[in-house]
Amino acid sequence: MSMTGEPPSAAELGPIDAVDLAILDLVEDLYTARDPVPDGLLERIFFAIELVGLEDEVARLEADRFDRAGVRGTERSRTVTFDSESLTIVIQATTTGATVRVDGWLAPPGARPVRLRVGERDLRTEADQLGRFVLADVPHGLAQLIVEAPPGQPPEAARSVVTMAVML
Amino acid sequence: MTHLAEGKLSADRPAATRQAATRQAATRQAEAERLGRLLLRAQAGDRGSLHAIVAELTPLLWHVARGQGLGHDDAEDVVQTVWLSLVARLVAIETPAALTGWLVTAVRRESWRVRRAGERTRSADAEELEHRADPAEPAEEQVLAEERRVMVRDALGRLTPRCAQLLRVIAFADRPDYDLIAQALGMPRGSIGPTRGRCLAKLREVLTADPHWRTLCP
Repeated sequence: MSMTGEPPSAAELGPIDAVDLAILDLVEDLYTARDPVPDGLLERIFFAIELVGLEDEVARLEADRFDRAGVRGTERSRTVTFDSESLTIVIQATTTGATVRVDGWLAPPGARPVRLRVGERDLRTEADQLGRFVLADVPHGLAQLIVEAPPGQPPEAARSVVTMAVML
Repeated sequence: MTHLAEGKLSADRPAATRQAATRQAATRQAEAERLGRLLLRAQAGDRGSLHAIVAELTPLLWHVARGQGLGHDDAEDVVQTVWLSLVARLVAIETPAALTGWLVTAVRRESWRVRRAGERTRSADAEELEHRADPAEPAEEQVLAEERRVMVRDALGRLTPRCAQLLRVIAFADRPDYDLIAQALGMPRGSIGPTRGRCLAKLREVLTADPHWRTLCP
């Protein structure tokens, strides 16, 4: 297929043969050596997909920024925004020593069960009517938020929103 | 459905290598069939099969995202997000080809979206094809492998960026999927597979004209 307007050459029209496959193997070798899949990415994906149900909504990472260092010494804080079709989740993760405090907001607001999976732990809380939730003493580790449907929804509307996994 | 045209091979490569490549093509075909079986089992709820699919296709998706110009962190996020989305709609995927096509299209779209979103603050690192020694390889093999890589890198550098990007992704794909992956990347039909197409023809021309080709790839 020529994209320059020139007619395709005989070489372009030839079927892919063993030499072509060997060349593609060389290209594969080049990129496998120079730009490999990062260590741990598969494990992070396995963690993230563990509890995803059929029809769940996936919330992608929209922004992830460290807040300006405050005057409070050892505290470090970071704001992470996730976005799905129906819900925006913003969390502020403040590190104090060995644990993290997570302040979260849901938009649109609503009282919904919230789960934070972190490592082997599965922490649960509820967002209030204003969509706010707090989880204190969260350990560091790979973390994923699952915002369940508001109680009393018919099963077909009971979709959870699942975020991608990020390191807390 | 192997299209290997043994008779059309010129004296480019000796018979032993040709046979090795034929075996390789057969392996690629068998892999595609294996993927179909894994897909059925994953849809029935088997975690191990789902993990095997993720392990098998993540390198392809990684190179789609990186080929779209994303930095390491963004590429990781995009690949992870696309897998999450896939699992949420797994039962709707009917064939391995549909699976691969959906994933590649989703990574490409998601990569565009991330690149457009200026507010994302994760750092994008410039792609560097610098040398990283593999300590497991014997020194002599390493030198040869490295020379081969430099030759291939230089040859890819003489292609258009779009062609180099296509070949980078195709190199991680199963052969029956070349055409559908090229289309999922927005390339015109017939860009690659079953015919060689312009990009692969050009790379082959550049490589086989390289004086090192015969010594490095006997």
